[in-house]
Amino acid sequence: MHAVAIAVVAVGFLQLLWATAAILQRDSCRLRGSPKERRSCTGARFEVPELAVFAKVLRDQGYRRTFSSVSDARFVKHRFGFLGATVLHAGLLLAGVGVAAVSLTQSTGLLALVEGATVPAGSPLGDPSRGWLGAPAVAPVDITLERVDASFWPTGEPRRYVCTYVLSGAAGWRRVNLAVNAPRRIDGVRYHQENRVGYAFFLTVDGSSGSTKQRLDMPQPPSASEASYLTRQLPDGTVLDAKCEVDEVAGAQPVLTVRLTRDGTRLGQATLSEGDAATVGPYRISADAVFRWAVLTIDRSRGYGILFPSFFVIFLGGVLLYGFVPREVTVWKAEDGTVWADWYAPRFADWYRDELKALERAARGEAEEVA
Amino acid sequence: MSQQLVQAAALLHLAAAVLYAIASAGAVFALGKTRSGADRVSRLAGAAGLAVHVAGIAVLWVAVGHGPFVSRFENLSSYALATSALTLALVWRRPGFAPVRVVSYPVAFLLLGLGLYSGAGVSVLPPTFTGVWLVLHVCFYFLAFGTAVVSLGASVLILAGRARGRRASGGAFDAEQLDGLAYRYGGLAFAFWGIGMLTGAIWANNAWGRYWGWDPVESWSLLTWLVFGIYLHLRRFYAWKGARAAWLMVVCFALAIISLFGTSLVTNSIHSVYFRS
Repeated sequence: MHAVAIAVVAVGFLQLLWATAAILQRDSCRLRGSPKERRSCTGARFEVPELAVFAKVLRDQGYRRTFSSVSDARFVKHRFGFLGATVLHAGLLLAGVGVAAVSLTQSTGLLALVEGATVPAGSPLGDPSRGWLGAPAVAPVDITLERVDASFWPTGEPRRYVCTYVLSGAAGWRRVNLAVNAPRRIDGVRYHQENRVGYAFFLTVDGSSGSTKQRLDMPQPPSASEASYLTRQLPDGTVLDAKCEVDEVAGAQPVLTVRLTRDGTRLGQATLSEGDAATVGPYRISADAVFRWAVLTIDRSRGYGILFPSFFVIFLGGVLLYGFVPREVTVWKAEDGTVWADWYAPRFADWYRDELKALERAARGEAEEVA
Repeated sequence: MSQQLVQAAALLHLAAAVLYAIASAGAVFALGKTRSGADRVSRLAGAAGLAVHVAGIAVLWVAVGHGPFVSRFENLSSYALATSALTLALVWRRPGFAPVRVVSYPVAFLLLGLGLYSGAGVSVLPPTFTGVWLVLHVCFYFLAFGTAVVSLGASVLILAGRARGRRASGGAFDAEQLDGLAYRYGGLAFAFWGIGMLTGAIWANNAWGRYWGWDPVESWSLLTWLVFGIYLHLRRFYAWKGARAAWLMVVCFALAIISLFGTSLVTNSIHSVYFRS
């Protein structure tokens, strides 16, 4: 299935490449085109007075002379609009190249860190993605989460997260602030602060079968009136349901409510803050420490420098294609001495019917005057 | 204070919806007549509706402290505003295209009605909702929707005129010009939709750490854009026009509706978190 999808995309890409080449050839011909090439596909033809007289009318209408000979002259309005389709398709092609480059060199993964913890260089990242040519998804340097600064709206909903990391490598160490929606590239590696932060509760659970340490990474509660939840299964099969609540605006400490069930039977429930301990059914649970945690994405993929600029090329193509529709007028002298104009718009000709009529009227008016 | 402002904004939105309803009725009665009283009523009500609507959004902006693109109410209001503003601009520049109002003003009215029904409340910006890319992303989608509505309006008139066996406008202009309008605005919708998707990719890359995630909204959006592209290519290279092209535009618009509103409501999308509220 994967191979079929790649084949379909490859065929589509080749088709786009071929179409772009064909459009480029067509548009460059139109851009340079001599009047003789144009006459065969005229949109409208009407008689005009002498070329010099009609050229002034055209100039007033925004047409610019692009070619002239003894018997012909070509005038174009929005000349570079001829390149709209070429630029748009070239942008699509460039975007395709960018996507291919990023996909092939992809190397991304996550680090879930608690304040004060350090992950050494070379540690494998969580949820890794690696392209055929991508580097291994590992921590590039020693990374320490020093602090998580969170700000909140009056409703208690999160407003902004800024995390301070210390990156230590062979070249020394540096302190880096990373905010959500503001990734940074450092030594060729893109660090991106995820919107996933919360409170890590370090619990000790003492039971008849011994003592276990549990770290519960509770997501940040959505607001002061809403809680976040997590479920964990203990080694003996007991299910631990945890609920975290905090009123950040009031500066309160996070509170954890744990409920234990086994085989559908509720064993007990307790609410804990940092330093608290309680008996829940046959267990003694203590909240030894609470720290903030945060998730960091580390991305060493290449090709964004092609991908994102390609969007602007597409945008430019769209503007040229739809905002600057070229219209051209070829003025030529017939063998009997009369002078004619061929008006042509490569697209949306109906839209410019009024402009054509105005030119025809001007031509007739001038012709009568001349007569 | 902010709750009072939100209520004032809701009242202004309600007034705008009423004016759009009057503009819709006027547009229907003005069909086939040039410079009639109904036409004048439609123009005035449409312009007044837009002015009141802009005032409503401005008041809401002051109340919540951010642009209208977070909650469902805000989004629906923005889509309605884009539709109404583009319609007014088109009819002002090209009075001959006034009949498209029989589709675009009812759409604006329905969107405002749905928005008001879903409730105008105070919303806050989540941490990911910052930056110019987000603003560009949503603005281009609003524009894409507005232009698609105009294209749909022209297409519906072509189909209605064909069903009646006569010219859609009763002589104000011919079906060929409507066809050209549908084509051009379909092209604009395609371009704006594409740019909205691309700026969204840049924003997603900053906000979520990936530029594309095959999220349901993203996938449907891509599908819609591709079908708009097929519409344009069939018109350009296979000379599709008239009723056949108009039907395809109806399909394009249906896909746009599914992408913008449907997927957020029925699927678990990272986008739906915001539109559901």
